Amino acid sequence: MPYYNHIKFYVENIARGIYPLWDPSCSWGGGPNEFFLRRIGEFNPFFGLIVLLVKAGFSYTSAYFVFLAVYYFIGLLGFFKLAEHLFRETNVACLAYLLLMFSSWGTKLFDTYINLIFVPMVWFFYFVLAFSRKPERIFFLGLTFTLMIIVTTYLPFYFMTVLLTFFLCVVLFYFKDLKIVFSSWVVFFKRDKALMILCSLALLLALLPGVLLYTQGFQGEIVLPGRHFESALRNEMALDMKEIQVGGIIIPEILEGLFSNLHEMRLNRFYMPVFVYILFLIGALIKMNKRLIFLLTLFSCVLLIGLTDAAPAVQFLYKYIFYFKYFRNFNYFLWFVLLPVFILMCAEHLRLFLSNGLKDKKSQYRAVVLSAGLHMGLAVFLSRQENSLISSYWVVGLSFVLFTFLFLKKINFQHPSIPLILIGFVALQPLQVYQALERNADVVEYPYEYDRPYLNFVYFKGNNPEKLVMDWPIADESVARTRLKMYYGLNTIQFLLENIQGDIFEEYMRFKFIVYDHVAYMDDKNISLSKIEKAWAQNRNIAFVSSASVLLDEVGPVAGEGATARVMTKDTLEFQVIKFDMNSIKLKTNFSSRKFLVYNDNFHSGWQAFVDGKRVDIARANVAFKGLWLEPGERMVCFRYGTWGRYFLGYLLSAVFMGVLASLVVLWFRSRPCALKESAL
Amino acid sequence: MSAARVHEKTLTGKSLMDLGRHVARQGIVVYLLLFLLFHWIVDYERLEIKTLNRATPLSFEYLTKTAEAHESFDKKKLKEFFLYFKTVTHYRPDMADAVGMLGFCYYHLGDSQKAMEAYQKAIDLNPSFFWFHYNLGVIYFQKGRYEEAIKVLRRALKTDPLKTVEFILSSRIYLPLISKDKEKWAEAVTGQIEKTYQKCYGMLVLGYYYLGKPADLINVANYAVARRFADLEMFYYYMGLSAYQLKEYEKALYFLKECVRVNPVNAEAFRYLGLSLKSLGNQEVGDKMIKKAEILHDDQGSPVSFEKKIELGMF
Repeated sequence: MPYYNHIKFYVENIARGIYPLWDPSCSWGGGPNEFFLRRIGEFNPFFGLIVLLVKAGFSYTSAYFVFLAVYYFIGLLGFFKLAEHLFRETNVACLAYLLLMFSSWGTKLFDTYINLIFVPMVWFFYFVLAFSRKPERIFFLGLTFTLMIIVTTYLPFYFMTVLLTFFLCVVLFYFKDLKIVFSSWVVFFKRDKALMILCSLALLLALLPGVLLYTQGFQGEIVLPGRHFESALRNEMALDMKEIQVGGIIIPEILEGLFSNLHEMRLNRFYMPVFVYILFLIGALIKMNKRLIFLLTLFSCVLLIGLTDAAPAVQFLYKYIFYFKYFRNFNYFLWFVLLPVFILMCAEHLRLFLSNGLKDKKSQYRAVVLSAGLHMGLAVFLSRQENSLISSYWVVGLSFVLFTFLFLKKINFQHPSIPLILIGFVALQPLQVYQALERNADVVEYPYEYDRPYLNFVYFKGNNPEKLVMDWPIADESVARTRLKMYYGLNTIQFLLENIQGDIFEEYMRFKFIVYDHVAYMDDKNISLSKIEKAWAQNRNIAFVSSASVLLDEVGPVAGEGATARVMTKDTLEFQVIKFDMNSIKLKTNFSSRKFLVYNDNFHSGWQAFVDGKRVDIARANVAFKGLWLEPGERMVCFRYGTWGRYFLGYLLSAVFMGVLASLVVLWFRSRPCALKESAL
Repeated sequence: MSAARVHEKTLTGKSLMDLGRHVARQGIVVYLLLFLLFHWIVDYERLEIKTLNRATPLSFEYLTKTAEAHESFDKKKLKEFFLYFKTVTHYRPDMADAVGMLGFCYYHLGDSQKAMEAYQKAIDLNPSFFWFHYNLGVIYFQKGRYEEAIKVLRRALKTDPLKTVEFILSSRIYLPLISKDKEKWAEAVTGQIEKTYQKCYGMLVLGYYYLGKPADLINVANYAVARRFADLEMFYYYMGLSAYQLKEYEKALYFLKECVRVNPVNAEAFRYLGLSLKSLGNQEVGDKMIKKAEILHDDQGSPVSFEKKIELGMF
């Protein structure tokens, strides 16, 4: 389940009143959580549904499933509204909705996160269309809200690409109309200055977390070896062209899987109900309109981008547009752009064909003959495919009957009963396909990281400090393999993973707190791995720090060879953990002599330490961890991650998102009576 | 130019423009043009490589470990590899190694017919590779098509083991299936080929036995015995049996004695030994042997035990 972990981590912490900017429990010894928060878009108010369901007694997994399903149907509703606005025919919109719902789009919920991008994106385009036709507050607010979600969720670059392509197509095909649209917008902005300013401010505010993450990429503390592997760019988020090429749309694979061996349906396979191909073939018989050509151009442009290195578009864009260096998995365009646009095109085919008159008997019979040929052709084509499903032929046969009735005006496509008939047509084949999917689906026992207890502090990994089952990834002989293991983390821990002997590293990392008497300086440029390995293997009473200033003031004599460091395994009179959450830890110490405390949670410049309320510097100890000197006697020590400003921004944005959504809902309900009145008129 | 001619020309130009516009807006024309445009823009070779890369399983460990352990394959898991080899053969139909592996997958997925077709195609593409002949021979043998099995296995025996090893080491398909240490692996596979060559002889012997060709059987088995192949007991047993059927009781006696010397609990060998002795007039000892056979009730040396050992090589 995509993002199950990240969303769980966020939701569980936020439910406890903690805004989790740091994740001490992640496999790499703790790290900033900003990257994963950006992935899920933590300000999305719909995550509140999970919190509510969990509070109501649902298990997190069930709550998460409910959220996924609800969010998915919100997206589908957006698609329906968009199609309705586009075609101005409810039954055509309904057909488009059914085709999307019964495509394999729904199965993506359990495979990737693209639902989180698709839902706000589809609503954005609905609001754009609606606002262009009728500049109203609700649409503008909707535009703002969806944009806010988009810019805070995963990478807004997919959306930017679609938006730019969309805009390009609009300029190409609706240039004359743009003037009218813009002038109506200007009138609206003049009339609703306050709303415009507030929305702009909210949007700017929503952009901040993304910008912060982008700048973090330059600081060099965070590393993403799996992504950044071969990139020459300084920003750690950047990708090499080779990485981008990997995830393109593979047309032959898709085409191969569309018709044949559907009984072998698996998750992640692209699939559309067979009825869509009938509608597509109708396209050969119609006279195209501007809207259809617009959709076709949009589809083609995005497809060219999605093909990555199999077409020249991406190479050009990678070179000249900066953000193309920061995202990959271009095959997702297939799901959240090409699939819905293709369905809209097919729906438009039908609408155009039916609206072309067919007034006289001659043209009606001609349409029936053409339809017969078309259906026959499709049936023959299906029969030539490997293991075609029987339901495919049923759909083709029934479709011919439906179209014959439609062409001969025996039934009217606008009739209210049509959606019910369409459900049957569209769903017949998918039912057989999804039955196969259920049969073929692999049951994978995936170990979800946050299904294990992680919210409370433990002194050591596992249950027994004497004998521990480690889940720490072992740095093996192959650096490349280690790199692949580490997707995201801090540069220092990556260095250790790649260089320190695996078993020694594991043993050292078992414990969260180690107390030393002595400290030695170790230059970052000249790290003696053998010295560290020896010290860790023998648990020597010496820590290594990378800051000379710590030593100048505080270093004790490196003596007492053979003496071991003290590993803290439980609360004692000398050492107690008073408070712990994801972002901070509070300790009470009462040592008899001065000690150097190493907290085996990764060092990051965002951490602050306070001893008896006074801020002290944290030294980077043992290459990757946090360390500080503690004077004898009773001390209150606090480590805290992040600035108040960052927390404030997080809570502020959460409130703003909630506020905008609430306003949107209120406006929606207020506008309903007007809309009903208008439709009645 | 007269006004009428100008008017006529304008009209013709206008109607041509209208016609062009009309044609250009026809769905079929637009889609065809778009298709041609994509055909021109898209790098198909690149697309093919991407398709192949995408289809490549992340790990071949399941395939190699299951084959090494002589366990039966989980069809669901095998399907992933099957789809990979199918994709490879779709784009590279001349890759004998991929075609062979597709045959291997078909066989373990239960489609012997398609497996035979694949191996035949692999043989056509690379007739000097031992395993394609052998695997096809095994399938024919298991299907009871002994004539064809013998024909294919005889061709397998004519292949050069060195060429087989060379082909494996140069193959991109076998690369993830073989061990990292190529030299060691080559050594091991050479030994494996040698053993499988010997199995070919075993299958030939059985094939001739089932076809009722004792003279051919004795010829093949003699060769195997002279080279001290494994399964000596089986070779002696069938030679004894064939000699008995040919009523060459002296020879039968010799072969069956050798057989029970290798395996002193081979009940069937004792029975035929007894029968041969009786045929030679030695009733008393013959009866003794037959009685011993009844006591042993052992199926050692029976065709079934050897047939159980026959399986496809992972090629």
